[in-house]
Amino acid sequence: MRTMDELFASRLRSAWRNGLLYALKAGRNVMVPMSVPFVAVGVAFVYRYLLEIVPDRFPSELFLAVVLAYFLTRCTVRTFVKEPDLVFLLPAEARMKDYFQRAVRYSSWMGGLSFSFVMWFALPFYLFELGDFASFLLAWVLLVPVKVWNVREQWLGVIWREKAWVTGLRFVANAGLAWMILHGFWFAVLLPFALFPLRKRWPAGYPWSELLLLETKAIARYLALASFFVEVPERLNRVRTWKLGKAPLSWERANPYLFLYTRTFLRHSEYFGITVRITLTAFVALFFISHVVIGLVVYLLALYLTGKQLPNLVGERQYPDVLALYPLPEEAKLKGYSHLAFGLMLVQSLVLTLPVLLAGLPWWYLPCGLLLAYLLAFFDLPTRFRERMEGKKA
Amino acid sequence: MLEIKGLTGGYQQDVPVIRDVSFEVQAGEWVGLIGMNGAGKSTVLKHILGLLEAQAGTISLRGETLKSDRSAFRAGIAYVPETPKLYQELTLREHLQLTAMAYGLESVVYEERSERLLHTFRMKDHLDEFPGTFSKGMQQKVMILCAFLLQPDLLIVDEPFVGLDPLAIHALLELLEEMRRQGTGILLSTHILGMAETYCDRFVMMNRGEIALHGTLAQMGEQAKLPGASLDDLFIHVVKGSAR
Repeated sequence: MRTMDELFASRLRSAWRNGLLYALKAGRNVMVPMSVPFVAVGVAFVYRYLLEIVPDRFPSELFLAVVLAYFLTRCTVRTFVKEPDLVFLLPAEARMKDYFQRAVRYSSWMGGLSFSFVMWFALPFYLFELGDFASFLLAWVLLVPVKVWNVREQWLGVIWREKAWVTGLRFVANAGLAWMILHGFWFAVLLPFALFPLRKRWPAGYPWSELLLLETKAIARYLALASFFVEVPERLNRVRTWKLGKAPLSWERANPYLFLYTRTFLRHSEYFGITVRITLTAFVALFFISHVVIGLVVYLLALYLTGKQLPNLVGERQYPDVLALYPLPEEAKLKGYSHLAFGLMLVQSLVLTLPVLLAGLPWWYLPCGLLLAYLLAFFDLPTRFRERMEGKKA
Repeated sequence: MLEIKGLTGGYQQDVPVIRDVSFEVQAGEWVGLIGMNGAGKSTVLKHILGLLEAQAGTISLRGETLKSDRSAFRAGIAYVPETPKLYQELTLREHLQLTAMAYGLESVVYEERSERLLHTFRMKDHLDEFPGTFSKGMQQKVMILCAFLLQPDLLIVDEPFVGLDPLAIHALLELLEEMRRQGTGILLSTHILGMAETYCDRFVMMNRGEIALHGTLAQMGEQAKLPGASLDDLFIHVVKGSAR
């Protein structure tokens, strides 16, 4: 029989094993290792370009403090709880303190590690704008414990069911702390630890439903990321309950799959969220770019990435069996899928035309974008869709 | 109308779960598919629906098979699964709209039928809600509403009463009766033998992947050499016989 400690260790091992399996699968996908150097070079190129155009009076210290505060505040506590735990582990709740302490310790390590990645990504900006390598190292060493403190606060916030404004307050505090540390007031790092004794202690019981929900969301995020590179059978679905029109739109009436895929896209938090993030990133980047070729690359890359994520949307595993029973030809799926993809990229290319024009970039980005959208939606995506269908049949 | 001849199949190519299954469902007839858990009822239904590929045998509906005319075959069947499986991203209204569009239902017919069904199953107030907020019984009602929106040649109903409140069970039975009168053939898989005995015209009793008894209650009694036996008695006879 397993002890609680062994249970946590076994679940942790299983989670890592699954993660590694997906990483190996992604590695076997020829496109992934091939595209990594291109993406890295592209990011480095754009990063360098952005550094060169930072205005002299740009509030770099404050900017970096706010960015770091965001990553300090944003914490995930992995508890690895599962739905059956509500039945099987609930009676053992009183003995689960060690289990959850290990979960918080593990999450602190992972939080520190992920925050370190952010810090090292910020290194060129720091060296370019703020100081030397030694002062960066000091800031890094001081901010990692702040991240660990945040993970613990996040955990206490969950189990004490704290309101969202407490997290907001923590963000403000983090921004202040990060700014002071970047400014050289290193002793500011002691402030959170001075607050420790004032904090409520470990509770007697746990909010199991909330913990389960948070764990489900965390897994959904990882699977959404993995689904960019490999097919993920057990994708979890978080739904935004947005109200759309009461009747199908005129162009949806003759195309039931377009009706279904449009709603899946809009309400499925991962697909919609990814597209919005891609669009926003490109929108902001285009404001600062004056180089015609780089601007065009960013503009088209945003459309390409949006098109690239869409094949996951039609993965039939996420839909109930009745989808397979509709008296419609397979080509109807393809039609709905292509129309949605083109519609999305059309809207996206129009939205991105605004920063293009404001930044003084040429108007012909729009026809280029529309051409790419057309080619992706009606040639590239259908080919990949057919390959997927044939693979499934085989 | 539905004709199954020598059907052998299962989930893996060389491991048949059902063997040499043959039976028919005529228009306006109510056939009960009876058997223990694991007897092969759901496997038979999945083969009829085309969700599994047969290893041997044929399944035809009004002379058409899934291979000869996929769309016509599919358009003739409506299905209420045992476990409600809904689109998490669609509201109840959108489930009905999608079903109507997929089966090419006229707007006027859709409006009239959906209005009546929503009223019958008391789901009108939940039209713009998402299935994530529904109880299991309500989710099952959504499946029933979608199936009854169509007027198919064949209605396949797999354990439809589980999770439904008594009022909904009553409404469902009335609607099934009404569909039968309109000429729809009904294939009902259930464990509620009393209800099956009351409503079904004929039965197919499965045991260990094969048909053990079939026909009317009287015919099955003769096959089992238990004349006048109830469906309960026949079921126990078959199960105990196979255990020996």
